[in-house]
Amino acid sequence: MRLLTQVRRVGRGRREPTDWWTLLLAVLVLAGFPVQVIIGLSAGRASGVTAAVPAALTVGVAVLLGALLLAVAVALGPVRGSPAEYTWVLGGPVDRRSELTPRWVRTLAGTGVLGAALAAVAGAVGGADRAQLGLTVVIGVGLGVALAAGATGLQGGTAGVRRAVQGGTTAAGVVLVGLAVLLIRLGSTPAIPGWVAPVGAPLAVLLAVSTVVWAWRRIPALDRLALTAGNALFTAGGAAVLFMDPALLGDVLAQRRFSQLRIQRSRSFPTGRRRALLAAEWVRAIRNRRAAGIFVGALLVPYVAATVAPARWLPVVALLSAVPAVSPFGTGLRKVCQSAALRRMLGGTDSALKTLHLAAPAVAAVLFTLAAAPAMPADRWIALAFTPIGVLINLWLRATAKPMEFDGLVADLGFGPAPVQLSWFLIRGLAPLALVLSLQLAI
Amino acid sequence: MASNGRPGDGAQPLLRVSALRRRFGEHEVLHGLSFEVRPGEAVAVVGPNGSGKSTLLQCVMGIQRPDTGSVTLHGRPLVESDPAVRAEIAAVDDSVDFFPDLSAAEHLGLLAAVHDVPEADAVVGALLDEVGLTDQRNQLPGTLSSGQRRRLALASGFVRPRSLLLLDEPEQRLDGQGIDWLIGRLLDEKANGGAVLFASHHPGLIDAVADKRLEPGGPSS
Repeated sequence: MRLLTQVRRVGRGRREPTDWWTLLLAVLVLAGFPVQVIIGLSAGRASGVTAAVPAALTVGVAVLLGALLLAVAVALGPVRGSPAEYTWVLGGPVDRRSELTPRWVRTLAGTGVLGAALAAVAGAVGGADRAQLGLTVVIGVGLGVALAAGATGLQGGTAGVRRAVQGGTTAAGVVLVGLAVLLIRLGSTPAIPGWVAPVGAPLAVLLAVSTVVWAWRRIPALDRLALTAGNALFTAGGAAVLFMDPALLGDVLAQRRFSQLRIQRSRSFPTGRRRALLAAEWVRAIRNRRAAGIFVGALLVPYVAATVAPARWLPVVALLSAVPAVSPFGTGLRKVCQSAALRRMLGGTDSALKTLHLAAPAVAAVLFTLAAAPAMPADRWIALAFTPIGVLINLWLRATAKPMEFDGLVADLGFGPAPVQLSWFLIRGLAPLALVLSLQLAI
Repeated sequence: MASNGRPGDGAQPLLRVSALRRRFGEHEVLHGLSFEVRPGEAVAVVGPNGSGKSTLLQCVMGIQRPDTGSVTLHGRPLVESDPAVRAEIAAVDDSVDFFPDLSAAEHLGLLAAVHDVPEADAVVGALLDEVGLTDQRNQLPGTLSSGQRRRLALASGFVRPRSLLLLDEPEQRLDGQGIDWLIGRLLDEKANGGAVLFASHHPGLIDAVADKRLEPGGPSS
């Protein structure tokens, strides 16, 4: 222990000083933007929606959000460190828990702050008074800490248990949000009772304490596999942010998904180029079970938005939620666009191959649009009809993008040099979306 | 160019490469290379690492553009994206790729189906058996070992009809039994009138299959 303390002390002395004020300012600026958007949207609620957030919707959204955060936390670790730290922790004569705890505590603090921020936004949108807001923040902190601690407990469990918990909570969230939307549309929308915050706050604290104790006991049992499983994803996520290229993260996510996929029986394809390629697209679509889950989850977004946002915005919400819903159906298109070798093998022209692989996302985009239509009044359907166009152009431009160039042409536009190719790479998917979005708002 | 057999002498050349030059900066890899490949003929591209074997094959595949010279197939300039060229050339090199969400059998089945191979399932089953991947037929490419992926790549070249087979070091990661299978397959290819252009470091494979040897790094090639 003395050696460990000495090593830590030396390490602290050599660390670069962190500019905490700049970091805090950046967090406030970045967090302030979505808060402003939510406040702006809630200022123009649909008629009949009261200031109080319906209880059922709050619970459903909270469970769904919790499930997503749990999935992210479990995928990343959440207890993790550099390879050098693992060698030290797993091979060195140190107490594993005391070495891993500082980082783990920082993770718990981070998720606690995130929970507090989300709870504060929810409380503010719901019109909570000062006392209720304070208790809501306590609930948020408790749930945030409990989520990270729960993920730590699951980290040492088997993959089957982790998948069951993730799948169960996600499904529960989707079902609850769906029920909430149904209740609201039927006119049965009780607001959150006043006793929820005073009762919920101590319960959330109790949950946080119990899960932290459970996780604390499990930390010494974390083996190399459990500690290193999230490393590739973490590194890829960091690289994707650093290089502003989501494909870097997408490749690792795809690899994780395919490593878990089990095929019982290989399918046969009908003879003939078009029929065979379309059949393969179908196989790909039904094999990707997560795609269906994301599709259903994203489809709920316009229905939820209909309860809190003005009708004018609903086609825009549908368009933005259609992008992640349709994207998983574009794996074939992305692969064919990326791989010249695959195109050579399959034969035919490049354009024919790419167009054929647009079939699955096109069907998904049209189905999404049709399914989202009942969420909004009929006079918004014309604007909604532009959704498949925006989604497919976005998908096509992202799939056909050439690899990002960091050393391309630089133009001076009057406010400093701007990398032309890099800028175009970053906006080429977003630009058509922004265009269609503006059109939807203008109609 | 050294020659040890003339199986395609009477036939018109399928592939003709004329005065091919390729330079990387100051370093010229291909020095005005010319040769022909006729139906039923196998040409081996030999030489040490860095001598331009893969560069030559990539120029023929259309992946790289030569600085000067021409590559023609049936007398017409070879354009990689031309569907007719893609229908005639089956290429297996390090860039071979698979759909990550289709199994080994499905990948081969799809290739057979898009190229209108009759009784595709039987062809795929027999080929998987030949390359020793029957037990892995339902596995995704990402879950195969590097040797198994290599055999799947080779099977991808053999599952579809072709008149020219381009192989870049096909012996890579194959065991002795695999090399024997490959020799048999390439001899069958020639016997059926197919042309083969392959780069290799394996003397046994070259001796057994090649009708001509080509050394791109050589001064007089």
